Amino acid sequence: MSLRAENLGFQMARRALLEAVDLEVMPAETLGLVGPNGSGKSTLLRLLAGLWRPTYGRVWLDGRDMRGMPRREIARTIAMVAQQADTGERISVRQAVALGRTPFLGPLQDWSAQDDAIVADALARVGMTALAERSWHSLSGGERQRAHIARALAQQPRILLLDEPTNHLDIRHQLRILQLVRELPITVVIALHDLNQALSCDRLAVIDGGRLIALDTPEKVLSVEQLRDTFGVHARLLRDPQGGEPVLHFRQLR
Amino acid sequence: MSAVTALRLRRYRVPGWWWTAPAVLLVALLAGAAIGETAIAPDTILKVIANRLLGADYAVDRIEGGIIWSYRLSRAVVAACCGAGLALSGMVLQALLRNPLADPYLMGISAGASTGAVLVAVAGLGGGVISLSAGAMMGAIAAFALVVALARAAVSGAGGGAGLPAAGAIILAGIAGSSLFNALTAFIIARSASAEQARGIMFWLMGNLSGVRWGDAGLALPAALAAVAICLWNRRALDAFAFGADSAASMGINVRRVQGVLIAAVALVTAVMVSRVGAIGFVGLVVPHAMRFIVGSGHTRLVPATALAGAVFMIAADVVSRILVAGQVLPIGVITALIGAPAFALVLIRGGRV
Repeated sequence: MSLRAENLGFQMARRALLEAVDLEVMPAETLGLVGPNGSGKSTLLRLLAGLWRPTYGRVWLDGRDMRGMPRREIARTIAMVAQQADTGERISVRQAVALGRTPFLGPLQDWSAQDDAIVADALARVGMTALAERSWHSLSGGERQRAHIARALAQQPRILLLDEPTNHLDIRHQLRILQLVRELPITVVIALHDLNQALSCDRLAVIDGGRLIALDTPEKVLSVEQLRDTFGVHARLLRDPQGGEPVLHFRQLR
Repeated sequence: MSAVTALRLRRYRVPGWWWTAPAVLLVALLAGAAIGETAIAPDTILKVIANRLLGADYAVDRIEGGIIWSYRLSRAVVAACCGAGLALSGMVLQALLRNPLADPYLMGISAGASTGAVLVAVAGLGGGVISLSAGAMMGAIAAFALVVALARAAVSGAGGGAGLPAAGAIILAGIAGSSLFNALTAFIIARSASAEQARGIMFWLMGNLSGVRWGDAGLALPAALAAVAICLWNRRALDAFAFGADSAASMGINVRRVQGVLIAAVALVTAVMVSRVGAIGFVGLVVPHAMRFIVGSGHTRLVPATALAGAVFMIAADVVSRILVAGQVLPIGVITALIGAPAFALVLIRGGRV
């Protein structure tokens, strides 16, 4: 199992949103994407998911060029939780999560007990079994995000792509989502805004101006120089006096 | 058939109550044939059907038999087909474009049909060789093709529509196309129609089942059946659009192909219906919403429910349009809105499941 971007570029309305990105996602790792607003994190995730066609370059999935693969086949391997996916339909949480079975069901195939079990398992993993029959519109932001992740897990993906899943959530729900993602035994690529949260990833890719400018362990990538150049802030890496975990402290550059 | 497909086919089980849908439809058709200015007993209708379809030889009054077979039954069948086809078209467009205001005429189809009809009826296009229906059909398809071409050009161009989501582009192009064709229709009527012709065209535009014969059913019935089949085949794809096109794509739906096939299909179905009976409003907009409230948003149930409700609703509206004012047939579009609006208000206020 492997996912690899080769010289990947994307343009929209003649503006380059992503330029010449080479990146290999390692099996079972959690790869964080960090970068300022508009740097190209979401674009990279969409290209990796095969949702957009690259303007140039390729995405390789298990050694195959993704452009030649049917959507259905990609969706059986890669699931994506995008930002701000909402619905006007009046559906229950369980129905929303059940949509994750779409790539496995054909027009002549009926929903099976196995599908039921997979959906129930996905709901349990995000701790939403008790909310399964609730209507989607009655959910809070954090619950919706967890339901989205459950929907992605119902696809039984080997690779999960998450676009800023902690956006607009309070701190308790942010930590809960991150904990949930960390415990998944699959490959995860996650775009994150909070650099302290990014510290817990296995590796970090820094994207700026559509280019991949660093790819390494969090401690190496989030160096004082890198943070000054990319994010325009002054940072210090501290240690929690109790547990010794690294914590970043930021100040405006003067 | 390979073993795998056979296995999959066996796994698709039809719910045990499936027969209620055709049963309800049959009762509605019989009622549509029985009710009218001269009420006809249901057993007479069954006898006529048996005579015609099964070669039976019951004694039936010839005039009654003629009314039932050539007039009322054909009319009820076409009404059912139009109701089902229009309701399904609205359902598909609402789901794909994620716009609750989407209806079958969104893409300029009724406007194009009226232009085509007016060109034939008023401007004398085709010199009497082309029928009104054929003109309407050509107008509808021309308008749809123009709207789709405009939407594609807008999305890929560098103008104001660049980068617009496909759903938004279709809706805006539909507004442009509808306005253009409505203006053309008005222009032709203003230039060359007599008052009598203008009145006739207006009646036709509001929907009219009066001239419907079995020949119309020969086109409307396959169109309606095709609509049901295509919608059922794509029911999971329609479900997957609940969270938008991107989300559908990430769940394995080939968004461009599904959108292309479904939109072209419902446009053709709508064009067939409009060319037979005029632009009957309200059914395509409201029946799918009402059914969502009643059976939920899952298309496995929504597709049959919408088709059935559309068919029954249209048969009922036709009956009412025939008997409401003695000696006069009202345009069915007036009735669909008169019954539909309060019914929909009731569903909005009282309806409910998840």
